[in-house]
Amino acid sequence: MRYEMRYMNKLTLDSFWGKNRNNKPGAGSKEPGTINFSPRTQLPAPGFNQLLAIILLLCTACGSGEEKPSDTFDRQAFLENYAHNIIQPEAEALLGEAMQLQSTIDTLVGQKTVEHLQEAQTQWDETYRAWIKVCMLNFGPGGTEGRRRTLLEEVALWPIDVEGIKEKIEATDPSFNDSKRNTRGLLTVEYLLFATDDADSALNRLEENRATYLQKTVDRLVEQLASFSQAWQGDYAAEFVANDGTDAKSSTTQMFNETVRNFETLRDAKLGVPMGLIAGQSGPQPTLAEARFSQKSLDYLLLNYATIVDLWHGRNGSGEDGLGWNEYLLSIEGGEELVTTIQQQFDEINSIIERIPKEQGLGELALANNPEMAELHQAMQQLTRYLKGDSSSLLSLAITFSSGDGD
Amino acid sequence: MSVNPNDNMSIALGSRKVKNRLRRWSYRIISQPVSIYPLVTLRILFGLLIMFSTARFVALGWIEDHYVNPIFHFKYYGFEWVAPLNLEGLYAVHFLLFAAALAFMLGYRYRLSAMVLFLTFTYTELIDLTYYLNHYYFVSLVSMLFIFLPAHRAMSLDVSSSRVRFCQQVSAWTINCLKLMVAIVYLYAGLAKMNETWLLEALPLKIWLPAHDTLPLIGSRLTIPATAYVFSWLGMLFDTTIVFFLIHRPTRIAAFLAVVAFHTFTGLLFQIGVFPLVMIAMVLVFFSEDWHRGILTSVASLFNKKYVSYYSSIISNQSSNNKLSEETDSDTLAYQTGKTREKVLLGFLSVFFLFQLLFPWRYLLYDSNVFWSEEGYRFSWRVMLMEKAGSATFFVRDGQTGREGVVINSDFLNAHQEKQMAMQPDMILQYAHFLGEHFQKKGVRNPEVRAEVYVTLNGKPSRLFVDNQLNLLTLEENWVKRSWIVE
Repeated sequence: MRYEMRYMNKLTLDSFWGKNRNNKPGAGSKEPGTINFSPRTQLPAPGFNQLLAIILLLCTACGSGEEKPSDTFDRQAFLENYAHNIIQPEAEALLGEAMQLQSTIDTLVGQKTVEHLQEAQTQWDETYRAWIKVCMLNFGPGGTEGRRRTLLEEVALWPIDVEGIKEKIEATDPSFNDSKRNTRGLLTVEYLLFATDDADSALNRLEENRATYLQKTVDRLVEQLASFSQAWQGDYAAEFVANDGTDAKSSTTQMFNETVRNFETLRDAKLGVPMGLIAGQSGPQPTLAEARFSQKSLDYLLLNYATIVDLWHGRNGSGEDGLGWNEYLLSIEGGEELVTTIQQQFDEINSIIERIPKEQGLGELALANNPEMAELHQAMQQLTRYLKGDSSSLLSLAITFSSGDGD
Repeated sequence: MSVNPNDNMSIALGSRKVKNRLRRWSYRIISQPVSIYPLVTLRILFGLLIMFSTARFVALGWIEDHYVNPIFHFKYYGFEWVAPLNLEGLYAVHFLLFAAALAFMLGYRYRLSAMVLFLTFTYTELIDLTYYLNHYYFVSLVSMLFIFLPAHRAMSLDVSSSRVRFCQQVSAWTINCLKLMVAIVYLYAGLAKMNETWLLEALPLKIWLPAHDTLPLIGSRLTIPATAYVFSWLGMLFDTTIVFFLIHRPTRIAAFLAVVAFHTFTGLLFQIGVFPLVMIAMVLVFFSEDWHRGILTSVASLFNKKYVSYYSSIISNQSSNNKLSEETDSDTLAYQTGKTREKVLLGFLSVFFLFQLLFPWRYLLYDSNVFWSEEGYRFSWRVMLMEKAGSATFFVRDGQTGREGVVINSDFLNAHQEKQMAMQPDMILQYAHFLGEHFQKKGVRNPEVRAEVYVTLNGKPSRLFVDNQLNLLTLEENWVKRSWIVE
């Protein structure tokens, strides 16, 4: 303080200082009867007072009038529906199926019979169907963290690396510490169980190292799915519901973005690539289809689509319709029209799906350049327009954390 | 028709009066000596905020996300040559930027650090058009202005190490150019809000506000349509008038509180990073000399009492030495560049501000809806003005076989790039050209690229955005009206 005073005094003594002060507006022109306020006690001009009053009013009392919030949407209830009625049961179901798979595989390894192989194959199919119901949950416990990649990458990355798997089997190295996630997971289990049409030769190939690798792979899977399911049954569900804003890290935004991303994966990687519809491809590539060894790629693809439609409506596994994205959109001005448009697009896609000759596998359809499949891809492209563009815009959800502009 | 000699006389007198008034006015705006302290406060705060913003950028992993991981970068027109360095290089640039901001704040080798700050910051901004933000543009412009301002002539390491002479006063233009810059931002942001959609439909706020219904206290009120109207009008009035309230002394404190309230509120509502802080800091330029000197002295005394006493002694020495004549006094204490140098500088600044004043109006030269076609949209202080989103599907066709395939955008773009590209024509065009080249290398012969883009503006149902049959490779990026945009 002392220094400050000294400093001020020196400055006041300065001849320049005095001269300047007179130049300041208002300072030198003190008229009789006027009061010169010091800067800190000056009052705002009347116009500004009103503006400030309005701002203050807004911040404290706005909405106290008769007008009620139009259609407020209960985002917590919406998130609760997803957490409790859909995700928790599905995650638990997947874990159950995986554990079942683990035990059928143990049985198979103990006793290599055609019957046990078929049991394991059937159980694998059940497990994969359960997997498809959660394959879009690549956030929260299914998101990346440290060395852990997304759930999709950890559980079912494809196309698998057949050579890599063979090398590991030969080296008896099921350490799983490398980044080659396409040498493990559900689709590696599929390869080991299904990789030949002939049950006998499949059994013959299941020699000791291969059997061990199969067991270790499924053990690890169960471990991962258990921690995923436990997180959802435990604290994460509450965290998910509580994080009910609409910023980039909110549950609503994450779930929306991951659902759309899953839809795009379905459209391009599951459908477009095997059909040869992607730029740069010179023809169909059925070997790049998801789950090609079990030859049910088309089933899984359609199940994935049906799951997305269910999620859109907020429907759970037993068909109960809770608060979903369509209800959310309906609560917003302009949302009704969009909901109708999206429903029409769902119908359009369904009508195409009905026309697909489903007795053929995806591979056959691809090699035959099936026109319905190409049509389906196009119709899904249109749906992307409504989901990724119109819906995210109307819901005012951020695509990325760094988006937005200053004001 | 006789001419009354008195008329001529009065005209001459009148013009002399006007001349005098002009001269006085230009003296007040340009050459009048004023206190340096507003410049010092701004130098310190600006440097501090750049340091903060740079550290935040690096900590969030945005060097990797924005610059290193993407395969493709969208370029600014005329700056296509700006390319990202590798990871180490980019870290080095950001470190340099941080160091320059620190040196700038401390006034260490000020001109050099200001220049490095300007160049490194602008370089990082020019790498990819995706991340264009008005406030980054603002920071670039202000850091460029600072290069020419003597903000290091007090309370700086340059002065304490006698690298430069301490100045208590500077010419008025040095402060006024910052005021003008801030004024342009607010005023143009306000003018941009004077449109039908913003004022009469309360869009996009009607879409944005309800999404924030979880905010404490006011959250539930944000879902009421009337709130969107009130906020739209208030926002427009705030932006257009705030500078006048800041200039007008009696309303200054209240206006500043309004600035703080406004930016805090928008900062809570929207993802706008450090921008609220930058603006709150920059409007301090309108505060009085007394205020700046007072605040700087008390802050400095908190840190280092010796530092303040050192300054006081310089001032006292200089003023006592020069008490003999007011002329020498002004020479010693006031910062003055050489006459020619100052003239050149003022000429440059005039051109700069003329550009700033005119460039945002270029959209009038296009016969199109600036929100839809974005011809003349950027660099015009159109901030948080519309809700726009799109989805873009690109098709690459082999000109020889006729086979056409769909492009998986995520193979080439990150989510942010894809989102920005899907609604901005010049980015759509750039991406199309990139795809053409990429697939040609991959063996597609005579590639043709077309796009099916649907854009939604302010919550209206999406519409076709560009001619979906057109081979985009036949178009080049230029400033001519884009007839290929579906109006």
